[in-house]
Amino acid sequence: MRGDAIGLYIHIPFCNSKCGYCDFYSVAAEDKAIRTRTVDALAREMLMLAERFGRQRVCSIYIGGGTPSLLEPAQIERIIGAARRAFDIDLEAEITMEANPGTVNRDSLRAYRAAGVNRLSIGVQAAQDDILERIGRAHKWKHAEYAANDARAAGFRNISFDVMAGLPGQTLSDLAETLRRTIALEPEHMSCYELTLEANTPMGRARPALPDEDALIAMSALIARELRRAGLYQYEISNYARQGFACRHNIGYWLRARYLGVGPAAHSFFDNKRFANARSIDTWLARIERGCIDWEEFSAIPPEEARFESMMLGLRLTDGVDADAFAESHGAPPIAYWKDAMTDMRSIGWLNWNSRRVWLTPRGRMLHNAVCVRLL
Amino acid sequence: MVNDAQSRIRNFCIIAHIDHGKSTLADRLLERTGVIPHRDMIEQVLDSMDLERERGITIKSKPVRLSYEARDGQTYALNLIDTPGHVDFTYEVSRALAACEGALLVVDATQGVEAQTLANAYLALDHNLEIIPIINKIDLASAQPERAKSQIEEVIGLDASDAPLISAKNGVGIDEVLEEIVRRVPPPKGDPAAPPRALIFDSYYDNYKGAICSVRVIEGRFAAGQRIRMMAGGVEFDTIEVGAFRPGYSPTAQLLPGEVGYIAASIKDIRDTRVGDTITDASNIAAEPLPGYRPALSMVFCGIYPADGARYADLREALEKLRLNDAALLFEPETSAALGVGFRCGFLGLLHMEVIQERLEREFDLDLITTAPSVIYEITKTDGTELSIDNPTNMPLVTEIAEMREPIVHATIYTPQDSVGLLMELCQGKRGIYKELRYEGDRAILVYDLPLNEILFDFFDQVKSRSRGYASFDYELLGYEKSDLVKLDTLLNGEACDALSIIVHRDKAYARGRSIAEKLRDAIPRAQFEIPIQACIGGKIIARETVKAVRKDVLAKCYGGDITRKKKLLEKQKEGKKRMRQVGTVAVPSEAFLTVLKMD
Repeated sequence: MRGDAIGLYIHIPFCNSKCGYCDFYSVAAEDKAIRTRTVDALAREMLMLAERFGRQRVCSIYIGGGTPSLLEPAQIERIIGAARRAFDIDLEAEITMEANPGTVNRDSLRAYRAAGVNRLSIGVQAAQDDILERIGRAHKWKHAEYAANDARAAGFRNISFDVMAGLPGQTLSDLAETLRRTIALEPEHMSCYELTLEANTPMGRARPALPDEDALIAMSALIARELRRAGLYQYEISNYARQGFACRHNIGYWLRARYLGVGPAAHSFFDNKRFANARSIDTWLARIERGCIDWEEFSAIPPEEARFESMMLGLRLTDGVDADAFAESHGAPPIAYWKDAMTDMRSIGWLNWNSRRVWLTPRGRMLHNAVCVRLL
Repeated sequence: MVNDAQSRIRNFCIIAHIDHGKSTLADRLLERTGVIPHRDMIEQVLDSMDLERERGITIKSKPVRLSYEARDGQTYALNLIDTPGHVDFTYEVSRALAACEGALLVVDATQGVEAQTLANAYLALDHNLEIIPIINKIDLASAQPERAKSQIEEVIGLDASDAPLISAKNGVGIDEVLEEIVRRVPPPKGDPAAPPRALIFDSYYDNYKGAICSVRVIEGRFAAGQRIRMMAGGVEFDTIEVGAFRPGYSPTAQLLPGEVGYIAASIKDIRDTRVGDTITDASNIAAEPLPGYRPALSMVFCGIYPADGARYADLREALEKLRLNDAALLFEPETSAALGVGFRCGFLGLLHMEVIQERLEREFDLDLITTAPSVIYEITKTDGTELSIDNPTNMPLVTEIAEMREPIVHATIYTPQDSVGLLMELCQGKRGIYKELRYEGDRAILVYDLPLNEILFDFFDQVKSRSRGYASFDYELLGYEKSDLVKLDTLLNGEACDALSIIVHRDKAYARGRSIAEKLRDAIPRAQFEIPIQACIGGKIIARETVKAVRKDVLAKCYGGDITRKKKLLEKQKEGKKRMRQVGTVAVPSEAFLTVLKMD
């Protein structure tokens, strides 16, 4: 059980090349020195956080980016080691690392595993090399296969594959092929993200033609059908897993559990406050190297907003929002706060509830934003 | 008879096309005669409203008395009456001209004669003013003063051989202008013993003194303590103060014939100080009012609604404040099923409408929804009754209409020759009746009679774009003509939306209906149900578009724990919803109401 344990997010802000759609903070891998400084700073930041917030129990660690697999296994080992020194890491903690095809091999994967990583998230995105090139991925499909096989050989028993839908020029049969080939790699978990154009990315500015809504709906249906057939059940809007392999770290976000983030642009949620690091490696490094815990005093989230957050996040999960847990956090179950909106949305087939929980219908899941706007 | 003081008065105005430098010249005249020292000179003192300064146009004219010691050793009182430079204010201009004996006709040496140069020059000639052509902007590299001169001679028929060549911007030639005013503008006449008559050519609202009349005294005397009577208005007031603007209030003992100044009489409502009205002495009433008075005529109407319905009271207060200084602004409450409560407003013309809308948004911080502008249509019903409507909502059923008439304007377009073809095509497309095409040098004058409702929408913009900005345009109301007009309604999900209805000519109805439906299809956000948009005439559907239902509206990712950002996105979506109007079951964004105004 999660209990009062927290999640720990570690942001590795390096990429060899920037994908056209990606809005996460990263800089060119640059020279070794800055990577070394970053690893040192991450270790130091965790100690600083522990000093400030106490030696928290941690049930999941997520090393994301950027491209964490650009770091040497020894550096990952150093980071996880620092986490163990700063926090009380559960014996069974889920420790995920993102790995990009083309940046890993059997030896490095074995070493990451030895360092404590027990879950791998491999960004395959699509099985068509022309699509991969179009969206700025630096690898080909075969590298995804190599990475998967090497990971198995290295002993990983929990691998997630990221694929994308709604890409420019992607057809339904392209996606079907991607799913088929990815399923052949026997995933424990899959994240299927629909492309979102972000204004401040190259693709966001270029505004390429994208599949229309009908195509996107067909793609969603295809994903659900194919993955169900492969034994992966949808536990969240974009996430699918075999029984027992749902990503604990991400579930923490959706349950509005606490997490601490380290590294530039990392976000935290603690003591009912949300805060984030500077979205600049220089600013962040300078602060950590000064030994400075200058957390701005963020104001606590007001009760009304906190309730909304619980619904917004929890309704992403297939199981929806647990009425008792909600009542424990917010004083009363959801129906006490949103009787009219919920009744209205049930009548149009977006949502349903019983005494134990509130959940979105398959149709409502496609309209999660509209549901949230009604609850605002 | 001309007495000694009268012989040293000169009443003049400056007329010009927009941007030809009228206001800058006025500034220099003020500066040169010491009315305002150079260091205190705000650019273009006379145009005091922000909007006027930004657009380079004068809406309000304020007279200023300049004291000038001429080369003949005499000191003259020069009354400068600044005039509005736009066709919407033609009547106001004509009253200002009636207060003068002379006019400076400013022509930009780089642009030459333009439509409003012409319109204003003709107006000045109609008032028998001595016109002094002035060629401005000679400092610019592209200046062609000789060309401008020959245009003045060819097009207007004035002798421009002696026209001062000036640069108002750089202060070049200003003395010459002043000397020309003294030399050529005739001094005023008028008997101080006759029953008093003064022409109101403008009025302002002053928070302390009430409505103040800018006047030109024709005969008799005006002084504080006198009981005055507005001859057309029929109301009487006790004069508190008379004086001249220099440019602030400068009280004097009296105002004598030929003088320009102000009369303050604690007048509460600016509508009692009608431009063109004659002020006389209540105990010594003049036999005849001065000629030329006409009540302000609203030509263009539209509905103005607060985007946020809760701000209705703010909108009313703002309109009331604007009306304090603008007797031509009409408004009355109106209720629209789609837009809630707002006001039906009447304007002198399109610019007046735009200026008011902008001032409401800018000075009073209001978000507005405006409905499509309309003109006044005359209708004869089958039962013989007559009515005038300025709102499509009030149009009777087709079966009750025997005849409909719409206002026609006489439009003059002044353009470079190479744009004539495109502009003729434009006028043709706007149901124009060709009247005349004249070539003057390298320019052409194109004259069309056009329905006013056709120029309400994008005519100005089209004239500009089809001539790459070089053509100018002027119009005057000609009268009403019978026309085959229909009311074009728009149904959203089966329900008529009154705010989207317009009156159009039958020949245009199909194209407009299609265009409105298409534009709304793009402007109306998708809902969870399908929204049919239908354009129809009297129940007959002529165009249909559909806003498809949303079936997908979800974010794939939660941005690695960045919940705040997701929340902001949703709040924005929510905010967008708030700014929408509910028409039956359909949420329509404020901007969508403007789409009916736009044409392709």
